Amino acid sequence: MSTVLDWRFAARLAAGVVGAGLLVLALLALTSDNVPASVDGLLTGAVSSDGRMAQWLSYSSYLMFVGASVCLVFRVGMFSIGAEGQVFVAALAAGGVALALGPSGFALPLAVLAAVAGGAAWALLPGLMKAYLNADEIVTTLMLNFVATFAFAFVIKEALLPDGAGFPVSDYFDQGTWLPSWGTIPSSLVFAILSCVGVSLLLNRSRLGFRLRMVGDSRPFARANGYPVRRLICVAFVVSGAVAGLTGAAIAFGGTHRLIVGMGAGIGFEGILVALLAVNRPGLVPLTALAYGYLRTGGEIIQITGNVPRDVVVVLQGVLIIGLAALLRRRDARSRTPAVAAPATEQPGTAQGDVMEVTR
Amino acid sequence: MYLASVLELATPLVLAALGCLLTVRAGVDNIGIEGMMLGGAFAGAAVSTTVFGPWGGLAVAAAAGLALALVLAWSHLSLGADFVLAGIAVNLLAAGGTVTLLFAINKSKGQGADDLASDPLPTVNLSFLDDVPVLNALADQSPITWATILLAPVFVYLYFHSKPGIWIRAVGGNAPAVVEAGISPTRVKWLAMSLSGVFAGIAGAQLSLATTHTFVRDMTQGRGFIALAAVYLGLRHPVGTIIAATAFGACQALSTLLQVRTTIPTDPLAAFPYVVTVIALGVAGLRSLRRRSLAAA
Repeated sequence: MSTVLDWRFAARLAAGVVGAGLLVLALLALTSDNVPASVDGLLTGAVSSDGRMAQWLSYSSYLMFVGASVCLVFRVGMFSIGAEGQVFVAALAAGGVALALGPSGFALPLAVLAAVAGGAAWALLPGLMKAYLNADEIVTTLMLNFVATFAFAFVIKEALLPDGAGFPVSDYFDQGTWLPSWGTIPSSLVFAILSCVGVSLLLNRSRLGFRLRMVGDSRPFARANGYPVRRLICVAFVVSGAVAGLTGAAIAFGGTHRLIVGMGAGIGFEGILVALLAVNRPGLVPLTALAYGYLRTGGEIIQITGNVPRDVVVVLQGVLIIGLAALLRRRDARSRTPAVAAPATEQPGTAQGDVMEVTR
Repeated sequence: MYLASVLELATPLVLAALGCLLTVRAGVDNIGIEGMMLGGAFAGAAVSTTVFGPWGGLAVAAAAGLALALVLAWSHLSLGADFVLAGIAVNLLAAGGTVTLLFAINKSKGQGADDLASDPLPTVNLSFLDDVPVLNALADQSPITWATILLAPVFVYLYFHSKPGIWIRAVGGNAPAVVEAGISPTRVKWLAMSLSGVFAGIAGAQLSLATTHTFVRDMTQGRGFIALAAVYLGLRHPVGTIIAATAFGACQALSTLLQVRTTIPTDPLAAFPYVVTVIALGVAGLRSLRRRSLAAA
């Protein structure tokens, strides 16, 4: 693709963002008594105090992990929307390990390992089903999100609930597992940026990454080169699940310091938005996560200070996703030759799968 | 009592699932069905207390579902957005939009609450059935439930025998043949998605105008996704879909019963439809794998 196209793309992107901003303004006008104060809260709230800044940066770090995870799996052409469930399973596994080990120097590293393993395992299932059974990954990951959500709630209510808890939570983890922060900068932010860089290097600079991208761009081409397409699909799911698992660990040890039913809900879908904003490039995810996290934190703040529902930001999410998805598809359609673009238009869910044809 | 609650809870699932079936067969996994239901539930409740009354609410609920479906169809078919992303976007628009409007309405009424009372649809009162075993489940159902029971066979017939039904099934199965026949697959998809929106909007009205008499934020609670699951568990066949959706309704009724009468945890029961559907997708995959290896041998 030429730079000219990218400039045009950037201009459209800017126009879309301005349009979305106007929509938010209209929604605020509908609900707020004091529109200028609400706009001010939305736009500057995230930096209005040290506490809010820390909240912004740590939320952005969660978005970075999950955004990198989504980029990876989308680039391999898999429409997995399962990050949400992977985060829940990972948080549960990590929290379970931390609570079981108590005060121990090994608690945090082992718990993070448990999170990575939990996220990867929860992603492996739909990966295997897609690669070997040609089960529609959109539906399986969506369903598994709910299974994870209910399992999370069930385990906390039945096994981890401390006596006399008024709402479904676990005990606090030992303080030794709490992630430190430097002033307003949480350490999870550093790990999150490193994860984005890591995923970017994996995709763009490694042999495995090249093969994964080939599977995403053109499965017939990957097959013709003798790549193990099915195994690569599974690898993509597992690695993205592992990165999503880090989100669960970051939220548990950097944010809530215990397991709470409903913690992190919706983060999987916000990760999709962050990945889309970054045009599925993990290297850009830190920027888009910070930008979106900024607005998101502003939304939380006007809910508290201005009695405006933070849900106006949810509407914005929807508009942004439609706009970005449309922009991306148009750009792809222009920059790809028809022969390569063909596999992108195949219908998931139809019974005749091309993955199966490898064995025929 | 239990049976009556099964019918009441299965109604929105069956309606939404049949809507979903149309889009799935036209090649689009309609994730946005959840948002369309939510939009319908809100619009129904909001309009039912105005001069238009509950029946006006029902009509507007269908229109709201349709409007959100048109957003989905427009994003996917005209703008070229992927339908998964467009579906997620529709859900976010509905979730955020209903709460924002709820806030605006309650504020104008001087209320701060998270819910909105509705003027419910009158039930179809057949009190002579009260003492008849089994059939007494039908004695006090909403008109939407009755319409679903009576029109489901009509739907199945039209699905197989009407022209639009045949087009929709053909688009997902063999799009080039549809083009050969001089029909635009895109238009058929518009039709399938629009219909699913109307179905979902009415399903939402059942929630806010019949099952409960309020709109509460996020009140669909994943019912749209359960409907999508029912389509796949029902092997993308209308009768299978109706059976699966009804079974999921029975699950929800059992869950409610357990919550009221016992302390047995209901989370596993809530997860059940999703687990069964994942297993069903796996089994379907294994079966087609075996068929292929038999064909190759």
